[in-house]
Amino acid sequence: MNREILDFIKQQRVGVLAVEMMDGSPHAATVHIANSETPLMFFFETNRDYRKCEPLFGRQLTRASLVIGFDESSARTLQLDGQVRLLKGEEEQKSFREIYLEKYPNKKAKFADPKFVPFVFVPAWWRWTDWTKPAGKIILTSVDAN
Amino acid sequence: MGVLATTTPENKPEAAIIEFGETDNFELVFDTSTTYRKYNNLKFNPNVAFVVGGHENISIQLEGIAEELTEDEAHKYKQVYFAKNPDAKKWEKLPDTRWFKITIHWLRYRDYNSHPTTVWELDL
Repeated sequence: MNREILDFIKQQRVGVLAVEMMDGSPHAATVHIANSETPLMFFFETNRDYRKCEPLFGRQLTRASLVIGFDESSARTLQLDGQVRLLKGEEEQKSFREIYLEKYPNKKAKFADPKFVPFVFVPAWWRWTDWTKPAGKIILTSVDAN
Repeated sequence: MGVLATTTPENKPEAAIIEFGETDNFELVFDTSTTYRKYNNLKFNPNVAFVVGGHENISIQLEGIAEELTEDEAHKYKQVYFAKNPDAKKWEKLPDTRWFKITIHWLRYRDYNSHPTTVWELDL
């Protein structure tokens, strides 16, 4: 993924995450996003009572799709497909604290809440669409980038 | 604009931004191309999830069933769609363009600007 796209991600705070529910239907919700770049991973948190916890706790890996950039004024959007799962090990817990909670410090107070559920999205495919270029719409995918 | 999530025949979610319109009967309408992955997904699985808003701490989540419209059925839906998205008229006559309506069966409104957060849900 090139620097322009990574910088775009860094500027964004909200995305829409769709997950596969246990019955195979999609569920989508807005999420606050924060990410590492190497490897590219997105950290989120949710509440244990929310619907996305059903597949998060129902399977080890849940297929998911994330859209970043759905504000009409930005004219750029990034779609990513991959999998979500609960955090694994102290290293990911540390990354969550350093990356997610540093970006959203007001959520630090919720971290001790037993219903606070941090999780991660690991993308396997992405597509970047940019309508801002003079030459017209640009589409770049993870397949092109490899 | 909003984000529409569909699923592949293997139930893998795929999400994308779409322009949409809404009718007085609380149906959503959107267009797509037969060359887009969401079109093929919808032919296999009509279950969709849709999200609008989010940037101002207010969002609406919807779940429902998407149904492809015939040309005759699409007529009234196009009117509300083009009233909201006049630029989309340029796609109307393309041979690959298709129209869908979403019949909503669940909706959640959430406003994080209020204290406490305002949340309400509707099963339709």
